[in-house]
Amino acid sequence: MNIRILLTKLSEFEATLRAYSYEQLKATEARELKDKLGAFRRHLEQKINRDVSEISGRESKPPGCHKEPEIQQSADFATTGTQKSKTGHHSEASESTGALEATYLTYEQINYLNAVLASSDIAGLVGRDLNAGAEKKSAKQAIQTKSDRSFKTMDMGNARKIISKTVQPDKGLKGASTRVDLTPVLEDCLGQLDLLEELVLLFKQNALEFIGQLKIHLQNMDFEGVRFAAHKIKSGLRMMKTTELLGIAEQIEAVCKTDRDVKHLNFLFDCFLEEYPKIEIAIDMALEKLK
Amino acid sequence: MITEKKKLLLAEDDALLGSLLNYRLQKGGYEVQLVHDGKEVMEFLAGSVPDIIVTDIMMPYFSGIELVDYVRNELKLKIPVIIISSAGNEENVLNAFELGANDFISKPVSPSELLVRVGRELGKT
Repeated sequence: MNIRILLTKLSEFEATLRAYSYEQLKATEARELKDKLGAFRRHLEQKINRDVSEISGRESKPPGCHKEPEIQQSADFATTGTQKSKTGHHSEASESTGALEATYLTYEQINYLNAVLASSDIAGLVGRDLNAGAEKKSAKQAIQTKSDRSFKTMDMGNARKIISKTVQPDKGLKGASTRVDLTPVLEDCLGQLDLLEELVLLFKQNALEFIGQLKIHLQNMDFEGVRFAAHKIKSGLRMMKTTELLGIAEQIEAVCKTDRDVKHLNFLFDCFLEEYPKIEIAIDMALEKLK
Repeated sequence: MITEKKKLLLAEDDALLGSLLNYRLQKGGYEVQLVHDGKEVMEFLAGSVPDIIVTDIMMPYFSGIELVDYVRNELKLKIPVIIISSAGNEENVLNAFELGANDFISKPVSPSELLVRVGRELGKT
């Protein structure tokens, strides 16, 4: 069931956040993110269950009754986890995406959602289930529209300030599906999927280790440690063809060799933190495709 | 006739690359001992002598350069040593050659290329 796919993807978001809470984020930030995502998930489940019940209990409604959702304020969602239910006449797919539309998304949530949409064709899957006479607006468009509008209206003071020439969240996310191709790695593994899975696991471990090391080394102003860590991670990044992360690691190493500008290093570190979750999702998707 | 597998010491601290190369070299017919840092290299060499060594340059405790020096000048071994180097590490590669390294391969390492280079070095001996 497509709704289940959405929920599965949300579980992946949670897993990603869980993996980063202590290495990447401050404890309070991590807790806040987890709470918000948990509320987001609960809300989505409740809404989907309710909407599915409603849909199954009534006949198909005519198209064209779609009402554009209103943007909810984050404070309401974050503190109460409740949103008013929308009762538009939609197809099942529209109803399920409506649940998403009616839910305020934080900056991170938008990023994750975009990454999944870009990399797993959820919208396509949902779209295939639209009834013949139903509104043709795709789920992807609907969610994207919601994301764009939320991005414009959200409190940017709470969003993470990551501005990079090399890492631009939306651009990077939209390319997530095509950015990682594990086929050459699988060839190096002589077609052994087990080995590839092991390598992916090692890659993730290495990346987390790198993030932890960098955080500590930067706190201690240990530039040699930063340089060594950046140097070592490059090999794995290159192997997994993650050019964006590789570029950041190369810049970190270069800065350590030259002016050792802490501010610049922290900025690059933030870029890495911003980019890595997207890459991890893209790698997981690429791996799934090969299975 | 049963031919004994050539023993290869692979010193690579990157688990990802190490795992891949280990697998491919084993598939290529070598008996591979994978070690992850300089300490493990020393421990291994204290107990046995491989037919060939493939080593990364940058490793904890003991660099690939130091390993070449140790093998040639302390242990007085003439076994082939292939070093794995990153791009832009030419100075280290030259140092390694001066100390007696036989060959080098740049990252990203192609397992197939490494197999050819290993085979070529062993063919010489």
